[in-house]
Amino acid sequence: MKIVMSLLPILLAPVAFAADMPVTVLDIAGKPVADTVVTYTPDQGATIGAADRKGPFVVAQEDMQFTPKVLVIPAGATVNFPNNDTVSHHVYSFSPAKKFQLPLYGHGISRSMKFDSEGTVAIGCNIHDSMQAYIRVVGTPYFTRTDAKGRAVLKNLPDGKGQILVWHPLSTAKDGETLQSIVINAGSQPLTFRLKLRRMSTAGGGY
Amino acid sequence: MKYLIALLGLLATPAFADTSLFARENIKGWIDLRAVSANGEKSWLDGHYGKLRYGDQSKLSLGEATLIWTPRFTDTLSAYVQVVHVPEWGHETGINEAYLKWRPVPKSGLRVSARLGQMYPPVSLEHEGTGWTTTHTITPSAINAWVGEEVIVQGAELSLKQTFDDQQIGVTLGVFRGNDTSGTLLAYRGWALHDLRSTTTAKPPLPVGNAGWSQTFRRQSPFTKPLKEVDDRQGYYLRLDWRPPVPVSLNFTYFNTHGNPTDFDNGQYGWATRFFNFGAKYEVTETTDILSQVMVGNTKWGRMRTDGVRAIDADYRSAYVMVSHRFDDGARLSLRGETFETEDYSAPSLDNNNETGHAVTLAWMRPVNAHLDLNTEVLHIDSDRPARAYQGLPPQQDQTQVQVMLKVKF
Repeated sequence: MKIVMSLLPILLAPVAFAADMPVTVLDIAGKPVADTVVTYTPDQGATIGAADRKGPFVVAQEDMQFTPKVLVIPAGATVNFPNNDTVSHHVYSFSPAKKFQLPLYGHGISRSMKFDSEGTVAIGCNIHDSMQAYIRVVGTPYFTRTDAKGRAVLKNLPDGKGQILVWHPLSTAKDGETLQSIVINAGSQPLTFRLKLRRMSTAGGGY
Repeated sequence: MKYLIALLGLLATPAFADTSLFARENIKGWIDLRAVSANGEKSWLDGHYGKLRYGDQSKLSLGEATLIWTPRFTDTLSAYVQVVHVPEWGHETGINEAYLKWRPVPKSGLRVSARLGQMYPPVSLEHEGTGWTTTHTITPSAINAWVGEEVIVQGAELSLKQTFDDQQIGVTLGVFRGNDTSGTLLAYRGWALHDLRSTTTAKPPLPVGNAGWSQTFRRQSPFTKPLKEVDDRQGYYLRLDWRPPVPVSLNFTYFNTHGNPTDFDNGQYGWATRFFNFGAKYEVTETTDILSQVMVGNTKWGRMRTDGVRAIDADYRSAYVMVSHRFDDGARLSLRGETFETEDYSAPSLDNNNETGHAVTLAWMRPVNAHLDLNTEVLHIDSDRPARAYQGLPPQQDQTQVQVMLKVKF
């Protein structure tokens, strides 16, 4: 029994030192904001492991759209770009974080690309201007993305001080980023962020 | 032409890995079948002054059969060729748009693209569908119906679009030939609302009467050829685009055939036609938008008379506003109201081309599946055109047209 009692703190250790942090993202009108990237970076730093990079991470081309519109990956991960449409697409980006192109390929074919540098990679299709998506490459293993209800959960955060960063491609904040310092412990409360989003007209004029 | 064929042959060699000429994705098309019913006057397509595609009839009809070939020569160079068949215009089958398109992959926020060939200048906000088709209604507005029939050109176009963080500006410049008769239909027939698109060989009819243009200018054929070159002078157009940091897009186009108004060739006059077009789209929500275009222009031909007016000199104006809502299943409900007029400054006592009119269109466009669309539209129009008297008709006419369209796509 003594042995069991002495083992107990060790067994509980991972639980005691890791917490899940639910986050809700709303716009200023109180409507949920989907496709928001939420990351946590502990002040003492965190290492991205091989398991974090494993994925699979996918941006598919379906119904003349990229799916998902926003993908978050850890630096060093590889993203697959399968074409599920009947027409060919030509994926490209001129973002400083990753300039690349996957020249024209058709239905049933997939290409892949590794993303090493942190930052935002805006991707487009050279044939169809209305297709747009973002890959957010982050330097922490603690990341998530909000669903249609604006909700996401950062899992297994280590206790201690750190920063939560909320990013949305249409956020009017500088670089689309909203930063908040936080202390993670057993008593941490769920967080809610309110973002001011800009709206632009969709790309038209398919000439 | 020999050089073009040689070039195409070179591009078609397997050395270009991205070449795709006759794969399934390079060919598409559709057949649209319609049940139509319309009261009121007979259509202009039958030689009358009726402003709609159908008039005083109920029938089942082929609307259009279309074949589109989009060969790809390299990953940035492609072509677009569209052949259209309609039962009107003597069972016309011909080439509508046919052009080469170059779109290099952007290396910055600057998007460059160019077109060379027979094409529509970027004027219509309504023709956002595959193959220059309307997506919100079956019948385009008077403005864009006219673009479809008389504003098709053979030329070169360069478009530059610069995207900034939260807005985009664009400039498009086109130089063209083959559009010198533009204005003939607008002057002698007036505005019309229909979904026919001109082809290289199309001969849209003009309304012949016991007075008016057909008795005054007897050298004019009883039809026009929208792509005919008369004066060997180049026309041009300039378009500016702006997408500000709000859900609005604005565009402005100036178009000028730069026609020589005193030239004449084989039954067709050279018309000096120009217009300003202003377009705006406001995306009220993600599923509801408001579209509007305003067009103001002038068309003329003939020698300058002592009073400073030519044989034909007419201003034309039209505007529409459309509200459209897209439902979750992809169906779209649209309501459009419009007004149009022409003002004849030449000799109305001999040949009166004045006109005023209004139209309201309600359309339900429903994609059933990837290969089938079911579209329904009701259109009511009223107009006043004194020239109807040349065919013994009252100048004031109004009519309602109902269409149900089944579009089978492949």
